[in-house]
Amino acid sequence: MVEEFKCPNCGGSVEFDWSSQKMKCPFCDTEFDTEGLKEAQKDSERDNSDKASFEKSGRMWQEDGVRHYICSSCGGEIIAENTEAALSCPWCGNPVVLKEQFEGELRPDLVIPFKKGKEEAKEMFYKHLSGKKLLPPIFRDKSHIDEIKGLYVPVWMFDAEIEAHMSIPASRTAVWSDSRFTYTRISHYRLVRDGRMKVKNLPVDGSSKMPDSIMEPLGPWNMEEAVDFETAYLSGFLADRYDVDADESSKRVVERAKSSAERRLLSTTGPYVRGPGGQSSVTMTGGRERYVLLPLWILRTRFQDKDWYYAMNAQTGKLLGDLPMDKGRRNKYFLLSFFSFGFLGALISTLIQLF
Amino acid sequence: MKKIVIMMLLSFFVFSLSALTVVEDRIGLLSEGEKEYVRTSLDKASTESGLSLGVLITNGTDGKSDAAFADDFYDSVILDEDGVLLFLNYGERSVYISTTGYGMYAVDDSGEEIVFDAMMPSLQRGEWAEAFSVFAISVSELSKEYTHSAYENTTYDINTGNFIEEKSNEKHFDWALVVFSFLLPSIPAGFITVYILKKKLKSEGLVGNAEDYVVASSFVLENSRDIYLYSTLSKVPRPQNNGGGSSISRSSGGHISSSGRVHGGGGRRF
Repeated sequence: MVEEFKCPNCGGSVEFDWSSQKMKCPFCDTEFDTEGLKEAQKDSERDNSDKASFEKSGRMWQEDGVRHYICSSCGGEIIAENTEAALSCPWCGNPVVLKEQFEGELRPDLVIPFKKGKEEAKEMFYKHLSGKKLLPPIFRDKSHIDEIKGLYVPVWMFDAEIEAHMSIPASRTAVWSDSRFTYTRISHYRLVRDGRMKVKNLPVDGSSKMPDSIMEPLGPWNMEEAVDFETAYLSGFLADRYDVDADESSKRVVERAKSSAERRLLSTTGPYVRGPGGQSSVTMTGGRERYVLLPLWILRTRFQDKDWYYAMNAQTGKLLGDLPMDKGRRNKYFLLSFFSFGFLGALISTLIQLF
Repeated sequence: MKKIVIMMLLSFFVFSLSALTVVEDRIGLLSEGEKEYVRTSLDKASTESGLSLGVLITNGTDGKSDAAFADDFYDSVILDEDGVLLFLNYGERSVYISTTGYGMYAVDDSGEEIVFDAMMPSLQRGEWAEAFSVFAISVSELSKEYTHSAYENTTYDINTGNFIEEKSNEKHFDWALVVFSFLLPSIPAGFITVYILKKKLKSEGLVGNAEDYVVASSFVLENSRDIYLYSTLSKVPRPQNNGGGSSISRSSGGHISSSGRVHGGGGRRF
């Protein structure tokens, strides 16, 4: 089934508006409370269900890797990948939410609604370009964003208790002297440390399409602003459902938590000098995962026949993405630095010799 | 002014040429050919080292010690302020080396032992000319290792017998150092600058830790044991304080001869 939110006033497709944090009809500018609109939608659907002309609306059938839907607004065919959960109808452009992608176990527990809008994403992109000395000037001056998409990414948020164990080779050194010799005694130890700590709201990317190298540095996310999931929040954005399950994702929690736990255990070794090797292990207990949709703006720009993608945390405004490099400017800065420091070194050497 | 310069140059050459060689055989131990051979060896070594070199052969010392006899001969015959004399007391079957000036530095106490060690097989076989030639070669080799320019930066302390390195107040401009000082910071600075600027174009990748998500004050250390395994003990000799100053490794037991000149030296029997 596909779900569209229709304006009760004019019948236009209603989208989530990040500035007011409400549902808004782009045609008549009427704003609706999310819950209220959903209730109204149910009423409307109940009225419509008696009419035969709507029976075929929102039909779905499935082939390998893709699903076919019928748009309930225009009747056009919508082809979606298996993991796609919210998109736009390619025929009428209306925002569509694919309801069965959020049913049962697929229903997210929470969603962080978009807090930053398109304009802020563009602003952050241009801010991202500032201060980059090796950026080709033409990229800075003439680049324009070819595409900007709001996207909800599925993640698993883990709360867990981490029990960590470390066995660390270490040594202490004592040095003393008498009139003839200097003595050095190196005492070797094995330090055993056990500890535990808690992690909360540690996100792990639940989408195989979205690289972890983008999702992880985009954090942290403020879960205080997360709300119970409603499909209405997805209206007007793209969304995927998870295709990496919680069990698989928990491995990444262990990897990340292990590093932080080791750091804390190592801080308890006092005056010892750590030797090479050692062993450590962590156990994740009392884990609780929640399925959460996180908001991202994805920006695309084209430069020198290559697409450059940028992702922005639509809650905090943090933007990531590699930038192209101007080799001429790289060489220029190399030589500038080479001669500046070289002349400085030569000057100091000359002055020392003269005075 | 020109005259002064010419005088200085002349005196320099005269000084340079003043190193001389002496072969005095008072008991006819050497044939004329052998004498010539020894003289040639001494001349060559003298030229290479800048030292006056002499060989004195007697059958006794007129009641003097070998050291006093050799020193007096040097001070009356060779005279040069930098020199080395080898004295062979045939009657006592002993050899003695008398040194002065730069000779004390080039052939210090350890150098004398080196020279004696080198000469000893020839002396014991009675191959006198060969022994004196070895003496000349050994002195020449030592002078290459312990150069006159290094000697000029030292002062001799007769009380300790050590040559003390002087801090030279003379400054000379070293262009090689300037070039080195240019290249040393410039190459790494160029690469580091580019590295930093390139890094700004790259976004951060995977986050390897969970620091942003660790609940504050939730870390509890539950077990902490330090298990002792074994120890290793090493000892190194401490440098002995030999009276302070920046003494270098040359030392020569010195004494003042009857003429008032400072001599170093040492002897050995064969």
